Amino acid sequence: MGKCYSKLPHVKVPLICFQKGKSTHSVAAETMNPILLEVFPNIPDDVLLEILRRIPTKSLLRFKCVSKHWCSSIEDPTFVYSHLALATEKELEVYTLGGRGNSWKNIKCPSDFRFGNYCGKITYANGNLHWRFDCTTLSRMITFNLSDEEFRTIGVPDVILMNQDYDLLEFGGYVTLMHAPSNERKALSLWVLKDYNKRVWVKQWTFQLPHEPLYDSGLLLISNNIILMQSKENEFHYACHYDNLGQLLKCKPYHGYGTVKV
Amino acid sequence: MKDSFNPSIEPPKKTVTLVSSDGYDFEVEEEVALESQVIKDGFEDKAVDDREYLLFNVHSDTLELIIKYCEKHVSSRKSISAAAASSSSSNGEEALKEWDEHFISVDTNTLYDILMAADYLNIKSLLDLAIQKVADTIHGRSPEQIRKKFNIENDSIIDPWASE
Repeated sequence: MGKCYSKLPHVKVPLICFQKGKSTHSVAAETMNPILLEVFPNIPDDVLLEILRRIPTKSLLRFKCVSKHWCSSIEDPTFVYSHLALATEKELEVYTLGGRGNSWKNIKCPSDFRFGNYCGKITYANGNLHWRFDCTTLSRMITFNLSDEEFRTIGVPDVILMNQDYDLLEFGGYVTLMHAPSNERKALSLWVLKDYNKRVWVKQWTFQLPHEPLYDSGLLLISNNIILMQSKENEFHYACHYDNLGQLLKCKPYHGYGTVKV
Repeated sequence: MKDSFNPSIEPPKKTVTLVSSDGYDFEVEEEVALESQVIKDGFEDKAVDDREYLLFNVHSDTLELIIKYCEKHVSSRKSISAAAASSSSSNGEEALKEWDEHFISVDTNTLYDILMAADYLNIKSLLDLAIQKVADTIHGRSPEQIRKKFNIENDSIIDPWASE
């Protein structure tokens, strides 16, 4: 648990106290000492995490003493990445946690690296974090290797022209680049990077889509056999099934992401 | 039938009734209510005379503020896009940001109520605003300073930062 102060008797450290004047909410609150309501009473976890995400790292480390729950939330790797993602929008500093002393270490990114609008999106694969290198005439990807803690850039496939949109995702354990070929609006190409030293992208599949996809709504690759997409034309969601060579077999509309049976 | 088309008369604005947890009805314009993603979801499927929403978790005091926020945002968006369409210069977005800042400068209890209501109704821009305000309020403070600021007793928990 590191600095989680397991001596603390309970999680009710009153870091911040919202006293409910009218008490329309919680009956239990009335039975407690009115001053000692819990930290953010009833606040949903996702909202609490959003608040913590916007707290600078230094304060955040101090807040680990608030409760075991806060401590484990702050140390959770998913939270660390998402906190990092927000921090990169202002200035890129990477803080790693763990190892000796359980303290944070600040790693500066080379100053000519530009993290654009997509900097919030980090793709983890193969021991590296990946970002798109934005706001530049160069189509490159930024990587951060978690074992040697070094930043590097890797060029994207030549077919991706300047300012052309692409997305990075993790697929089958590798960082995978997904983009729409410039001459085809209803297709999707996937490129996979397996060797970080040789820096060679291998084109894995090109999928034909039944409609032009709405990229902003998130095109999901479930496996190399199924793609979930939203059509730009009619806004319906579709589940598209492919054979092992990437040929479209059938396509069915569905409602909502959670309901499709794979 | 001849009255069925008369361009000089605007159609009556469609409204939605929101009912607060303490039982007050608020009649608001449809587009204002649709700022809430929760209301928006499935809105079209609801019959027109059944557009009444019981908001069990939102007190009338808070609901009044939420409505004020949504009305402001709906009207600002319209004037911003109107200014953009006529390509006249406008500082609409800047002004709205200032308005937001003023709107969210409230006491802690109210901030908490707004935060919870924005989460419950899923009004993303308002939730973001409230979350940032809470973060700004607590960051940089030691647990002890926060206890003082919020008039909270130290309940004798071992505080490793107390001697800071």
